[in-house]
Amino acid sequence: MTWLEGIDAAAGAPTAAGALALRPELAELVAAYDAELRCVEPVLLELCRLRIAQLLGDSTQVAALTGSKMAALAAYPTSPLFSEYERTCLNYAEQYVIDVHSLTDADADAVKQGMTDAEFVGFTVALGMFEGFARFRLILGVS
Amino acid sequence: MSTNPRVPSAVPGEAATLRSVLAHCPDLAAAFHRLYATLWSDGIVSQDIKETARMRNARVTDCGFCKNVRFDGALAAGLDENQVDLIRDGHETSALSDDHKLVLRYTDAYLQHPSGLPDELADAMRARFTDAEIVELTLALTMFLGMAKVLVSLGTEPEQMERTVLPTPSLAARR
Repeated sequence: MTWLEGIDAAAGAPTAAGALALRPELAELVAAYDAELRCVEPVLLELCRLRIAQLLGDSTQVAALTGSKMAALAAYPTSPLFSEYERTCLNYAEQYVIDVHSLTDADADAVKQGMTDAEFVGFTVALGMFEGFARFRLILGVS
Repeated sequence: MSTNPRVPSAVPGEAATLRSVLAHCPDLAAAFHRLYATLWSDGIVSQDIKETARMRNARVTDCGFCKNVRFDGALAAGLDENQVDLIRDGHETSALSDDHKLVLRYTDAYLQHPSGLPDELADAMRARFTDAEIVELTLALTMFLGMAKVLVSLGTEPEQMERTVLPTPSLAARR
């Protein structure tokens, strides 16, 4: 539950959008930035976003998991539902959150095998925002 | 960790830096700049408070670039190197102001255990800041963490860097 009394929760649980509505000029720019992050294959990106949410305990996002693949996300290292490349990217996303300094050139090269330079840059920026906004939701108590 | 860029520069003749690497995604870079510049220059939270949070993130995340950059707006607002030196572990008992200590505690909570914000810290934040200011500060932390990790993971941190004062990001600076 949020500790900010100014968030409008009239329509249900308080949300990140509701929090950002307290700074409407910034909310608009966040939405525009978020739209530009979607420059990588969307299923892969969503898998990484949700895996980061799982790692950080962002339960409101994890609760939205649907489908057998999403349900198996925590077991991605061994689940047959995931391709080798998806495993590579999910492992990269995990290390990015846990210890970004531990990522090696080989780790990055493995991800880049399936992406252009532009896509890899977009993927990297997206991971940072996925982690950052998971923490934003958690500390403000919004979904 | 690597200080070798993992992506080449997208700007001919320019070394691989965060700016030239982000140029691979010009629309993304522009959207980032609009948000980051507005956050800094048209925000409702003072620049020295945001710079305090940025510096704490830089040290916890260990981003070499972030640690060595200072924004001139925060310096003009009164944040000096003596204060910056105190933005490290043990800040709770330092000579920093109560406002700075509060922001550092909130920053540490965001970075280390965001889901368990103590009621006492939440109460202190609400007593000092408006809800809109808290949202802006938390969004600032989101951007600081995200971009610090981008710098590290893309290998665009310089191997060595002197302390560097940069103009505070603003929309006017890019026009």
